[in-house]
Amino acid sequence: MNSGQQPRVTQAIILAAGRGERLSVLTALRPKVMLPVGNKPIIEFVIEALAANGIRDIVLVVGYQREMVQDYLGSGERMGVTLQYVVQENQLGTGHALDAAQETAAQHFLVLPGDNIISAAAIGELVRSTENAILVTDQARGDQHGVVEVENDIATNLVETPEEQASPWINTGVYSLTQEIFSYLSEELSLPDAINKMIKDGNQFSACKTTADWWDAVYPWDLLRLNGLALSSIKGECSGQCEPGVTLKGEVRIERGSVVRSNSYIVGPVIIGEGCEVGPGVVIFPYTSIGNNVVIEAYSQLRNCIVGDSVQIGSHSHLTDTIIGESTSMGPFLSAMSDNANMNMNGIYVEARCGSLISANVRIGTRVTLRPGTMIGHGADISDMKLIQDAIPESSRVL
Amino acid sequence: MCGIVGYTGLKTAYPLLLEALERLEYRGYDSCGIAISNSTGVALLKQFGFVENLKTMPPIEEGGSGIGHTRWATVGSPTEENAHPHVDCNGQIAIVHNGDITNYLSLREKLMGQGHIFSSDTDSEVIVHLIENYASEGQMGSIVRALKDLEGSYALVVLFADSDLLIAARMGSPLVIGLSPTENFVASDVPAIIEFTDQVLYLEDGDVAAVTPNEVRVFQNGDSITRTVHHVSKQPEERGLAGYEHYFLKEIHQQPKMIRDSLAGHMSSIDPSVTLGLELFNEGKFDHIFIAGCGSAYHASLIGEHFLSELGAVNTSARIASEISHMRPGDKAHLGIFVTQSGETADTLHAARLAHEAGYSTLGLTNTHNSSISRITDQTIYTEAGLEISVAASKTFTSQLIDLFLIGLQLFPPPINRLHDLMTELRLLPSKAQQVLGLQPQLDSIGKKLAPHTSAYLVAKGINYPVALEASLKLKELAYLHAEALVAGELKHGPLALLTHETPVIVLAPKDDTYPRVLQAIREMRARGAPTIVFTDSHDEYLASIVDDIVYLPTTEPHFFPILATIALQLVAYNCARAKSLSIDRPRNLAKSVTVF
Repeated sequence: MNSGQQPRVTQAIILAAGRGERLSVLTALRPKVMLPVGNKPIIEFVIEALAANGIRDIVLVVGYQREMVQDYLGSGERMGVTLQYVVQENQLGTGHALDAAQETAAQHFLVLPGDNIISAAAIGELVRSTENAILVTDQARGDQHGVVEVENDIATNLVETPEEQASPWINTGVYSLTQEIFSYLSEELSLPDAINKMIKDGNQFSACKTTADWWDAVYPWDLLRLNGLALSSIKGECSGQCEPGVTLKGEVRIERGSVVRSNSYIVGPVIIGEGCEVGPGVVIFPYTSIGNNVVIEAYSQLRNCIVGDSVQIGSHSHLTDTIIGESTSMGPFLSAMSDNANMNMNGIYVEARCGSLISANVRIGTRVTLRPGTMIGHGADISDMKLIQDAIPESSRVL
Repeated sequence: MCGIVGYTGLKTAYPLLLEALERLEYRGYDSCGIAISNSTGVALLKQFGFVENLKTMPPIEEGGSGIGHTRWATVGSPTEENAHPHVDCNGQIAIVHNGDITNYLSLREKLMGQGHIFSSDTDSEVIVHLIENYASEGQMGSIVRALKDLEGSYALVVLFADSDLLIAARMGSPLVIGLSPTENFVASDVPAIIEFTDQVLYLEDGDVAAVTPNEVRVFQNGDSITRTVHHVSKQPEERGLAGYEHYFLKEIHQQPKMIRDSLAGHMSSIDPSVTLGLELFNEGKFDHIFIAGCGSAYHASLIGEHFLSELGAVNTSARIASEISHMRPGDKAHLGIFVTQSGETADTLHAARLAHEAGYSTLGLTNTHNSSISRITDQTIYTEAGLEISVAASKTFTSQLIDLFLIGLQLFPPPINRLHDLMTELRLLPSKAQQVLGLQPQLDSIGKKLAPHTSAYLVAKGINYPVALEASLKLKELAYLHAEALVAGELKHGPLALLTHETPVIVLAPKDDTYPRVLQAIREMRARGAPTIVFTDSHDEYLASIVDDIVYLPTTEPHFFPILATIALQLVAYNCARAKSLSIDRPRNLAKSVTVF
């Protein structure tokens, strides 16, 4: 497998310190890398892809809500890798984050953002590339990503905020680097800026073009797409209990301690975590992930949703294209339907098809209707019989 | 005198013994030592303090048979001389011992009179000199003879120079033998050797076992007997600090997930019920329940007492296990619940045996699979909190509370709608616990405020009084701060005399039906100028205006407030100890589980 003369890279540094500002409605309590997709945090996909390539020495640069990352991943034993943590106290940029890992970095290492899902195949291509290399793809939208200008498979310039489509090659933020980068990081807070300086100084960076999977969540609703992709490869299995009269179609995974009650109808791919109670008579349509300890009461219907841990959904509720953070509880007859909506993302209106984005620890009363594109902040409390649209700030009460 | 291990086999014994000793360190870490039988006779290494101190010394590289010991001092101070193994006058026999020899003074005098030279102050050393005395009766014979002279408790492993034979004996202290085709192990508990083998047999009182690399023979009163071989399964465990500075903090942070895991699969909300899957509970009603434990487990028992008493019209009491010295004869309608994290706490095991002999139903609540408590009680519930490395308990305490709540809800289910509400609230506890962890900056400043003081008081009422007891224990263990828990209503009956502006007071004041009395106590303490720090569960400007610090915990059922308050106070104790730069994971003079009476 090893094509080059240099020893194969064995270390990866994952940047996992950021909050994910554009996803702030969902990141009040957790960093972006810990947002769940198919009942696993995004960063776990990154670590699994590295492990599949034999890269088991992993350094995590953590910062915002770092305990949540540490509590979940621990020392990495469960995933067969060794994790070391370094702390970036203030999140000033990707270069600044990498600089925090200088003391633990090997001579040659990979750098990856912890908040994109990357396939093992894409990492494999970079592993087989040269020491200084950038993984680029033309498989995603470029308007929210930096790009790389490429000539003959050599990177000539990294552009962080392209004004027009300066290049079709999107910078995945995945690099193969050596210790040399650190001498540039003392001056540059941004990793692309530091690499541009190295290029100016005559260093050659390969542009490693991949067609393998690489997915980013720029906006909260992108998580639904990632969730669908993650679920598309699951295998159906029931480790919990299904009462008589339950219909399961396609790949439906039900974890330990969960009960699906009579007359529920579930069309996979769907995953139901541990200790859940679903039904009776609940209908779940494809691409829905349900976390641990979730209760979905009778006669509710979910389609293409991400439901966090310990969420309680009242009876006769109807949710489509909706994301719900942990420990949110909703009374009966909630309606959260999906349509094209214009959402205000930090002052810029973005149109997308989407249901509602509900943060953690929200309490919603009975017979509440959420218009498409509603965003409800952490800890909000919404009284009975309300029609809600646009954004509800965190900890607010809607009376 | 506390964790013992032996190995005989084809491998080099020393590194295996070291690894096993590290896993036994929860039983004590005052001193440690290893003896190996090899071509030089008996090679001996001892160190004051932790097992890691042994690792700094050049290892004993030769020898396939050996014994090891990690000590928690009872008789004789924690010095290198008093560390085990102990050897006879000629250095040909070595022993490790866990237990208590009550007649050691008279034996010692007699042996010294016969010319034996003692090199330690321990009770254990008499054993090896006794064996030496009877050496003419052969290896097995000398030990059987020596045991007859001993009074008290022991788990013992004996090693001989130039021999691959280990002899193990048990009376009152636990001992297991691990079996493998070309090697065998002896240890105080299963976790010490589970990395090496999954076949074990448990010695019973009076057993003497001869262990060689390919054979284990067990004798009782001179007759060869058979003890059942058990298959034990290894529980997945996570070692490593995972980015934290201390295990105690890591383990505090594991609590939200631990609570979620403990609840998973035990609650059904449609036909509201809680099930733990124990046949014991199907046999009929209990008309008297007591819950026993030591240290933190006793505090958990007290909270369980409050909860069970309020749920069921049954006489429930919590008892300190070490204070149980006799048990009136009872029947199966009496239930004893025995709470021990390690499953090896000698006082709790003793109380469980007494209850079992008295005819009670017995239920063990422990965090350690294959531990001794599970072999004494009728049934055992495992708290599934995972390995806890910090000596001071955190997640294992809260896991005991969760399981006691679940036991209560299964035994005495309240009316259906009330049960539904309680279960809804239980489901929200993990994320409320997570919110408490988010209060760290404020709890850090409170911990730092306590650090310069020499005394502090914790005041609470009702179900939160045991929380105050547990928090004061954390402050003692971790921050070496004299902290005392007081019942709110008792202040005026004496303790007010202690309060000055130098004695900070932590008050647990949730807005339940105890609040008016607790508020009264806060006013009394303020009047004496004591700095007051209040933990409550809903915003209150009046309360905030009369105290120095106020911490708002998430609102929950009054019964579950103790869990949230405990987590907050664990962080206060941690921050206080950290401000004083203390050894947080292994406080001085302590052991995680005390395995002697």
